[in-house]
Amino acid sequence: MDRRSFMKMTGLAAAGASILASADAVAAPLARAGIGRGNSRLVTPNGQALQWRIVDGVKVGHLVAEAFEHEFAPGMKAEVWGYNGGTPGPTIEANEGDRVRIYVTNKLPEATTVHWHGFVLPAGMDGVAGLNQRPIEPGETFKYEFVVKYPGTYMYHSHYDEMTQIALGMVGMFIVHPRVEPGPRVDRDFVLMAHEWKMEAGARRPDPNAMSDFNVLTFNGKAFPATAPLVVGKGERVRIRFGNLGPMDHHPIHLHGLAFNVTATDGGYVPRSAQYPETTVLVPVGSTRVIEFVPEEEGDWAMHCHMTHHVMMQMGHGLPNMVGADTRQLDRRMSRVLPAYMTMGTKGMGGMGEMPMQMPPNSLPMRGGEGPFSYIDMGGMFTVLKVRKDPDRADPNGWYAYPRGSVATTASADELARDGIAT
Amino acid sequence: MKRFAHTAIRRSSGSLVAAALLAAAPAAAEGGPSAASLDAPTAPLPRLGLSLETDPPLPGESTAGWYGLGPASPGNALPASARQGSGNELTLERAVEIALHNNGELRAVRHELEMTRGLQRQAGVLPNPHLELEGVPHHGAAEVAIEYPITRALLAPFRSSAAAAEVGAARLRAKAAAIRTAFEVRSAWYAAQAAQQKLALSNQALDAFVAGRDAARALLVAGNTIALDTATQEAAYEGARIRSAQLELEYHDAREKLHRLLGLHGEATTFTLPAALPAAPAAFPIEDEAAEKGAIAASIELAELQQRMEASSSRASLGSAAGWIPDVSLRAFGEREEGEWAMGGGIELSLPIFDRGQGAVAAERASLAALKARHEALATEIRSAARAARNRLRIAHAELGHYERSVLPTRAKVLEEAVLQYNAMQVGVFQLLQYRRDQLEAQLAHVDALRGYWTAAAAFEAVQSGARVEGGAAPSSAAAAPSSSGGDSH
Repeated sequence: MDRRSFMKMTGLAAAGASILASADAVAAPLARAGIGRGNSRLVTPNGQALQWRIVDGVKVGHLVAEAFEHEFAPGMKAEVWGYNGGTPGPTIEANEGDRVRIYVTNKLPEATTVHWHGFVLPAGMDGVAGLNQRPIEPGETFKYEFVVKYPGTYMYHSHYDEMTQIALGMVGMFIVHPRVEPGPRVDRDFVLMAHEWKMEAGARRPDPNAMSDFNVLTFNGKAFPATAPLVVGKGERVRIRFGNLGPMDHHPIHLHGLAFNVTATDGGYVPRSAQYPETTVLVPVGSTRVIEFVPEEEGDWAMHCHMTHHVMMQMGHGLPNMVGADTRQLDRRMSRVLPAYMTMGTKGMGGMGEMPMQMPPNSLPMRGGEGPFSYIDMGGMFTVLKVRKDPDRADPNGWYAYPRGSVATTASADELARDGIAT
Repeated sequence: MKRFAHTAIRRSSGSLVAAALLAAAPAAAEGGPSAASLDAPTAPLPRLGLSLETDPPLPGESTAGWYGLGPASPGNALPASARQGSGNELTLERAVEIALHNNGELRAVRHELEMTRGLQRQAGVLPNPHLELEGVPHHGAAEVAIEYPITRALLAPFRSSAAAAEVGAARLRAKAAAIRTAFEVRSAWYAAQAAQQKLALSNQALDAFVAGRDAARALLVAGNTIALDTATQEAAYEGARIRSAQLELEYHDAREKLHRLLGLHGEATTFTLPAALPAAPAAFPIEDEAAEKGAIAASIELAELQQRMEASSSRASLGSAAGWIPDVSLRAFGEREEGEWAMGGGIELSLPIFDRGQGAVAAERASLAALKARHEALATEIRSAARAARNRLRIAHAELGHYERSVLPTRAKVLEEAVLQYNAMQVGVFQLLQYRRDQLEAQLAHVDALRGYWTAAAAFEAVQSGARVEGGAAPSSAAAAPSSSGGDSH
């Protein structure tokens, strides 16, 4: 750790920021001592961490599989299944070599199990119903106990009736910190779990039978604008751990304004010699990808899945292609047939999110969020990386103050003439 | 029994019928059927097949001839004037009134009633005396005789009384004919009104079809869809045009039937009908036990049979008594011979020794027994008919209520939700139009149910007023195709 990092961290700890490492972490850069006591530097935006009890040197935790109401974003709630009242469930953190004992209580209406995705562990602890254990019936509590041998970014999920239980939210992240970091120490360490859901506009429960047309895309169970921004410092080393246990889709996650290296997968660390720079990382279903970068430009930077439907929520999935259609005659007829009708989409769909149209209850079609210049017409798997000079004092909800003259704007006539641009 | 909330119904089949019969003045109905009607100016023919000739007009264009597409078109709303009648509008009450005075068959029945009255008068007339004159002028001889059939004269009031029973029977037949005519008029009026309403709804559905075609064409021109999709929308619209034409024909057929029943032609047939059928009472208006009692008490057929039984009984008694009465004639005469008149008289009578009318009396008594048996059978039939009419009305009322409480609100809810889903871009314009058409189909079926209720109500009312009628079954509102008036009888 360099001095700058040290100063930053001690300052934050003094400020009481829960996401930061303790003074112990400073002395022990691997931050082992902090894990389990709420002072790890690992942050799960919009999420929670599993609380450990140390019993005879064993980290003891408790996952409760249960149904509950979850809010994807203001305006849309759903009956989902998850762990400890969250989907994804609490992020589990341990240190390489820890023995963990995790109790799983099943409060679901059907049996379940937990599979520790990516771990090398005794087969009887792997959690595949029927193959490695009998299912945990409703009302039962099972005990999983194993040593986390290898550090890495892992996941956990139900391995009984996966189609239903994963689609309804039975997923979570499991981070094992190494005794010795293989690379440079990071200043920020985020966990983002991608997921996808099929929610009919106006429904209150995700459809676990869906095979395509997923229309609610989330980071850590939230759709933009409910996704918490990631606030980082210019020049800081930032790590983001992506996980994907969505039912069907891989997600090319794209970061604006920087390039990064993929430093690890759920299979282990990528040797430094094998790393190469990217701006988009594909996170396949059932995989984790860890990226690291150092932002050099301040600002508000978009970070999103680059599959365009994955940032459009429920918008437009059932509409015929109206772009470019001349609907003048149709509109006249419809004024008599159905006065409530209004043609949409003939000029594209931008701005639809701002239209004051009556929508089905509990739906987020065309919904984006307010931006500093105008409405941001993206939703779903979208969040903002906020790079600040002083991230710990920055308002996470505030927008970047652009230096004068640094924002694209209307070209003046003089400028057009000067550069010979005909419009 | 509870009376119908819709008092117009009572007036039409009750007091109007009675008034028409009591007046029973043929002169009041004269002037209709004559050679003049053969030369009467013809009625303007409607322009038919509009839906097959042109597309429905766009808003702002003339909607003449397009029921349901105008701003105040039938089927668009339930104007308050629907039951009152306004302008050239023919209300149900007025239709029944016109028919009772103008219906050709009914007028003929009334003439027949007058005929029986004439026969009754004739039966009561005293026989004329017979005068006989004889003479031989050169001898001054003359003979004069007068003879009077006493027995015939004495029996004349009895014959008149027997003929009066025939008049009573004719009166009852005329009353039954009036009730049946009133029912037929009501049934036809409901059919015509319902057909008009269905045509309006069909045209609105056609409007939704043509909107779908326009949308498909716009998308094809923009390059957003394939020709198959556009052809599908075109085909659906073209098929719907035929349905509108068929419903147009059904409407005009129903009107023509109404014209015939009303005895109207020429300009008199240019009346309009209200935009919507009246709403049915919310509660079922019939008490179960009242149906049979009311029908039996009011039955004209039973009353007529009763009269025939009384007449037969009288004839049997008269025949029995008359068999013992000799046929008596009184005779008075004068003879003039040699300037002197000699007067005298005599009596002539038959001796009822062998023929006392025994056979005729036995036949009359057998006839009476047959009438009694028929009376009992008829009472059973009328009870059954009353129950059947009540059952049809009950189901028609329940079906109608189901449409109004469940089918129409849920269809409206479907469309309301579809609009929300459209706003959320979950469904497109084609699905939205389909939901609108589904709603219109439900409204079409509702019109059938409403017509079925009122037709069943009219049939029930006719039975309660004394006459069984044909065609009281509710048309099947579930049928997608235009339905007929139904042909079920009792």
